Amino acid sequence: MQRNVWFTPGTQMQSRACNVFNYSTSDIGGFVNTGKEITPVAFIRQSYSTRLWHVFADLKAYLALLVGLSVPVLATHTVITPNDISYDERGQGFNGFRVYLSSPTHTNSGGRGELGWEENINGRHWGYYAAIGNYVDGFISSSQYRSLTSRGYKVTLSQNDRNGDFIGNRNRSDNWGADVHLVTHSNAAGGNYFLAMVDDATNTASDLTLRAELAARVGPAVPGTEIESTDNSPFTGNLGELRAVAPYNVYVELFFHDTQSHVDWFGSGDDWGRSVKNDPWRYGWAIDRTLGYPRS
Amino acid sequence: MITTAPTVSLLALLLSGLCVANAVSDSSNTDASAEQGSVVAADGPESDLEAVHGFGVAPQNALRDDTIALWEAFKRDQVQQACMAQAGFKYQPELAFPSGVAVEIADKLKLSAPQAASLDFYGSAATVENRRYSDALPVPQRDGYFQALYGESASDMDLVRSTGQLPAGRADFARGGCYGKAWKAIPGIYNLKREFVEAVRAARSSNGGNTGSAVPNPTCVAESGAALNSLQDFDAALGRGEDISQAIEAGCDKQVIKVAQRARIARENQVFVTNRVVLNAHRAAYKDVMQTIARDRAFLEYLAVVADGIKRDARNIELQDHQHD
Repeated sequence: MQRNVWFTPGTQMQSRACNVFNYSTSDIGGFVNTGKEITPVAFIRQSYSTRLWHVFADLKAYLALLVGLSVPVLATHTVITPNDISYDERGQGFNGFRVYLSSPTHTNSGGRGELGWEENINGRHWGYYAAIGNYVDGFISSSQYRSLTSRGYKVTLSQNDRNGDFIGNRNRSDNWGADVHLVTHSNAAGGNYFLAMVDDATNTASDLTLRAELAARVGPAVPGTEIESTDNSPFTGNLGELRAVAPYNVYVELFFHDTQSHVDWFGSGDDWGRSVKNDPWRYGWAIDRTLGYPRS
Repeated sequence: MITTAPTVSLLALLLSGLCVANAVSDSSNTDASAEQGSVVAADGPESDLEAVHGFGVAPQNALRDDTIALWEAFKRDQVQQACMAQAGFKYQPELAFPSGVAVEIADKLKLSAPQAASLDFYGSAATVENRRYSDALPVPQRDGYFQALYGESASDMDLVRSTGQLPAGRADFARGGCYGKAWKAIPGIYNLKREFVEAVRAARSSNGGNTGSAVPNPTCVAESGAALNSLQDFDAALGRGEDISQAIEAGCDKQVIKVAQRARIARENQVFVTNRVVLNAHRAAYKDVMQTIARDRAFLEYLAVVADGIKRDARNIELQDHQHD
């Protein structure tokens, strides 16, 4: 008999239920608590003993699983995890729209020329702050506009395991009834642009509107030129992640993880991922503009 | 084993909305408690559209829709598993559904603890087991497995997993086989909502709650002096990097949100009136679904096992509490 564990290892259900992420320097893993702000340190960096640290990361997530529904838990936005995590609206009523933020699931994440980091983590890290980040332009903010959940959206942030299982992400998004399926990757091959894509054959007016808003609201904050395109284009092949049934389905290549200036913008060294304190709120801005600022 | 009588009662409570205060709305995220004082509550009645399954916005209706969607995912898994068995393959139901939402529903239903776990694999553990099983199959059988499951070849599945890209020329992928059969059998609660996507978007659009000159408060301005009369104005100011804290402290944002909230109800009612026949037919099709769920012992036991396992383990560990952003 398999042990009675559904989420192996994982933490996502606790976050939806009790809404608290907790870290301390005494936790297993690699975070430094600087008050309200948590700075991930180098334990996920590929240039160090990656495998060993992933063992720590998995153990950390597993411990979080054991914590249960009504006690503090550990976040998983800076690790590889097979589990998704869901958040309700906060600060105001549910606005009637569900957003599925799909993270990369590359089987070779960490070995894709990411200058020491992991594409699968980059996408999930950004999505986490887009969902519930407190930051606007580098400061912790109490405004209603800093994240998707504070705008009234229900959000699920997908798993980012190295399993190639984006079809599983698609299925979870479809079953949940996501209205928006937004995929976030970091790009490779040393380019200098922000790319927002829809499917070349099946795109709708809804997809095109969201794509344009993402390019206009997020693009200017990211290094490089913002480009609106499709799959099956000079930029990419036939992308499987543009096939969710959500009415709004866009695929973003946020920045180039092998272009040093882009990596510097995203955040490197001990300040890895610092851009999330400035700009993921723009996902909420773009989606709000696309849907007409729904409020309930 | 679980007892269904209390479950029926709890589902009835959910249906009647009496559980709202402790339902989905209070279970948000990292700093919800810090925001309790700043919640912008909507006033007034629900729209007629709320009664249509899949269109819920109010907490009890959103929870109803999540519960039905979860149950339908479970039922699709059953169809898929039976179909795969008929094709000669093992398949563990994966319940492709956001796990946090599933567990929250189990928690809200307060299912009594099962005497023993009766399922071997759950969620991502089932996904791992299915992968292990298919990977161990000899080549011809492995191809048959994916043909049965999704209507795809094993080589195409491998290509897609390793590259993220579909075979050239394919408009869609992995929606046939037993998976497709399950979706055909159970199109789902949100199928209709997707057909109404533009009507729903338009009805719920607040246009930013534009108050125009109706907001005379001179403090409702950005750092540059630009008026903050709508939600778009607030975002645009933030996008320019302007400080809007004075307007936030003065409650200007809450005024705008109140205006935005008022826009929805009347428009949703109009959507309902305009599409009354098809929406009522959908509602009728789902009329007794919550009672059906309440009597579905396999489904409730599944959720009970999941919730019980997590809570039992939870008693064994303590972690230091630090608020994260």
